[in-house]
Amino acid sequence: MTHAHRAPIHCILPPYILEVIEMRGDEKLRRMAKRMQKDADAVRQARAAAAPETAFRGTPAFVGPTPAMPHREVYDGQYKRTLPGKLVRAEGDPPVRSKLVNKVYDLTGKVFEFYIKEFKRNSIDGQGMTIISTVHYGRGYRNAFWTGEQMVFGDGDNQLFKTFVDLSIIGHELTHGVVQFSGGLIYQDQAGAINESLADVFGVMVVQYAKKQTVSEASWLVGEEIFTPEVNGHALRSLRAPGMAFDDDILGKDPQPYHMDFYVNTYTDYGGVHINSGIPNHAFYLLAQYLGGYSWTKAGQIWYQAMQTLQNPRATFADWADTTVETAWRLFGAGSFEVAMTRRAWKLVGIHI
Amino acid sequence: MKHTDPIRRIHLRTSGGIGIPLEGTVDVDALSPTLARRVQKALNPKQLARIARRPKAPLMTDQIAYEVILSDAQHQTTSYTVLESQADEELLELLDELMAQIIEAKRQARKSVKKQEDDEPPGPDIPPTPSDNALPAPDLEDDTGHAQDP
Repeated sequence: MTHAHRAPIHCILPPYILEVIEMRGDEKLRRMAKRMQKDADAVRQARAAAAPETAFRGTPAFVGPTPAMPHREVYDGQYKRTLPGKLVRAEGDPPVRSKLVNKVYDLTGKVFEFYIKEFKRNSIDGQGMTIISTVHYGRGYRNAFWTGEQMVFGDGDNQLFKTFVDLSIIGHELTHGVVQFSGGLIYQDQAGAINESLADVFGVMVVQYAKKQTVSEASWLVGEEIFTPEVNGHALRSLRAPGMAFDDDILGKDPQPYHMDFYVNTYTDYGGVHINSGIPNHAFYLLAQYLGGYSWTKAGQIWYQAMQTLQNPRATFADWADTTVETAWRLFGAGSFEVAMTRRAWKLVGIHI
Repeated sequence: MKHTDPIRRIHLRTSGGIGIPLEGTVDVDALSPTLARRVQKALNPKQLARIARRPKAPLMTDQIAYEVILSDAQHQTTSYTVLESQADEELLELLDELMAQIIEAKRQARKSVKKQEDDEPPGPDIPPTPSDNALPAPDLEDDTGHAQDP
């Protein structure tokens, strides 16, 4: 008896299929995909590919019962890069001496409140996941990030960045977790830019929610508090005017486009995820302006529900725009003003549905 | 560039992170002896190539990508891209320290330009002439571009 030679699966499956299986398959498939992904990674590394590829393992959001309480833990990184660090304040603990720790504790509570009250989402995973934050990460560290399990905040270098503990940044990082547990979006190219945009959109909305600002009162800025006074800029990004947040001789000019005509093709920044996010960011801003009032009551609901129904880790801007229009249709009715304005907002940034 | 050649210049470029790329160049000779020794030890091409092959954290968003371009005395270059999730603490601290030096040099340059501008003597204070305050001269041409009779 002879056995026909079968080519290994990793020869025929493109990497994105492996990423999706790893993200969404059952345990056995995930293990297999992970193994194959590892082999494929080794091959790609050997080719010295510059653009990194990442994958997200998401689960659909569970809408928990209300009222729910947050479970927060704030750690002190003690200027090292080991996570999570030393636990300094857990849920229900009284304030500690560090103002920064207390600020993170309070602001993560505000983001939790925003998600549970306005979207009935019980924490990051929809199932009451503990919200873990680490402050004082590294020495003069100029960044904040989401690890897949927790948020991390650097102190800034005091040259250009004075802090990363800012409500819009916390909302941004926590929303990366929400995206991860809502089906996930690959952190590359347009899918990655949608991921970044969702983080920005919910980051600015939580600020507006905290300040009770209407769409016309809000600044629509992400990271208003992070720059030192010597930087020529208002913030990290602007949803109202992508590309106009800063223009500094050291940091350069805000590179965000507001329209598909100015889409940036690049291999850096995971294919421009922080650059091209300006396009969906501006679409959300336009929609919120058209619908008026508080951004989270209509535009935010459309975006949140669309995030839950997208279920396409490799979505393009067109896929995402389609999903928002379908969601507006589902929430407000076929011939509604909301559907027409959602379509119009996308049209004005160069995406025709 | 061979992994045994001393590094003379480092061009460092960060991307990703929370969204602000930074870049600049440092000459190793201009660094303090301690920092220069750390650079020669930690940034050797063989070691960077090994680090760049490490697995990446699949779920991590907003992590910084460091592109490190090394040059030797013969101006031969080699470049590596290392993600935060791949590098160890010592290397990340070193790269951030080098970026801090790059930023500090740019800040000093900016300050000196500003100081130069501030120190420049103001131009002569010329009093306005009567014509500066006068109404604009009437347009003596009609729409066709032909001069009209005054």
